[in-house]
Amino acid sequence: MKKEYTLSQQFAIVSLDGQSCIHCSTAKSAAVRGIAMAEVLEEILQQEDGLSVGKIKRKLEAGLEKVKGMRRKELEEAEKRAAEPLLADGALETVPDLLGCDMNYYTAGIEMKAYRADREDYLSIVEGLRGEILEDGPVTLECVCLLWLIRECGCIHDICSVREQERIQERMVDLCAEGNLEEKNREQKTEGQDILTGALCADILWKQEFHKSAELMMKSFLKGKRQLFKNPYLQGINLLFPFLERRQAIFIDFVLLGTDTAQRRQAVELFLSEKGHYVEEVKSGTETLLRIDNMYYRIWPKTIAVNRVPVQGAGLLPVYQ
Amino acid sequence: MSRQRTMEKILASEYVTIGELARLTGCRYSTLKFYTEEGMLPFEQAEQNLTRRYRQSESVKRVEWIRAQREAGKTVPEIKEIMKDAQQ
Repeated sequence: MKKEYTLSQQFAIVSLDGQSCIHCSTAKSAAVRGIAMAEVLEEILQQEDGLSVGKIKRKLEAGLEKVKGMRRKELEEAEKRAAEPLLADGALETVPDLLGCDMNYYTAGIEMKAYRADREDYLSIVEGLRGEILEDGPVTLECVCLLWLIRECGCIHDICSVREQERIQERMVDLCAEGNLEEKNREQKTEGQDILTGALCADILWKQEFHKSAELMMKSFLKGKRQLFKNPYLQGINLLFPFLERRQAIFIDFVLLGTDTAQRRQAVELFLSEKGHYVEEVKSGTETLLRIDNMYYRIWPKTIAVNRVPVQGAGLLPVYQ
Repeated sequence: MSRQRTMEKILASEYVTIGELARLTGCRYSTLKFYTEEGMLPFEQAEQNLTRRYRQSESVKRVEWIRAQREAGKTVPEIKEIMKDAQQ
């Protein structure tokens, strides 16, 4: 039987996947803030049978303020609290970071570690979520909370294509409108214990943000960058800003004379497998992509100059769905 | 109140949604949707605008079988052909 995870654990599995487990990057601190917020939401959802909407809103606001004000040490503690049980359970593992496979990093002897989510668990959470929100029908509270957290930590583009994001936005706007109406109807009725529905939850959550201004700026920048990717010819722009997200464009050097594309691709796969990554070829139309751990990458031959000496190899560029 | 069903409840129920089927099988949502649209994954729908429901155990088995066929190198039209032959 599939494992059961709490809301914060589900979010931790999705958001920590591919994040460095040693360094505190902007992307990781946003993710950890999200985990802390998920813990607050979990508490609210547990008590939700006995709380009025007003109380839920107040609790949420208090939680938002607390999460926004979290300092580095508190973030580290939250990360440890979330990651340790998942690591022990096998839902997360630490592997050498893909960036460590870049020529500049491994030749400098820099060792980098990253979290990797168990593929089955990751797919089960992400695909269940996509199936629920993209399909017509009722939306659960957990789904709304997870989507909001994923949107806030800026990794929605990792799990949904541009068209799917637009569809999610449409559905959330509809849910918010429904929730707003529900709330107004309740105000007219007598006071009592309210039941939190997916629509009401969407109306309450979707307007909220819990990021610090610097992270918000980064997120806006990523959003802008994402807009550029709508044009496939501009995907190369990612090479210029690889440090802004958890996935990186990397370069692997090798010299293989008299080989064809497939053999060179296999050489890269072998190199990455030796470094501890799960690599798989995935056909996408006429192109062959590489699925490295839980992410997709485009591979192409590349030559870079080091001290004017040309070095041949292959470039890997994150692919958006 | 709409809360996510636990895995235990999903496994005990006769019908599941596409999201729950994705949770159970770990299969991509888009893949399941494609199989549905190709008629490889039977579903029930009370009315045009209501949610599609899948028979839990039957659908899980069907997805696993399709997956095994794909791994064996069969194309989607070939799998559809096998299914058609089996139904006759």
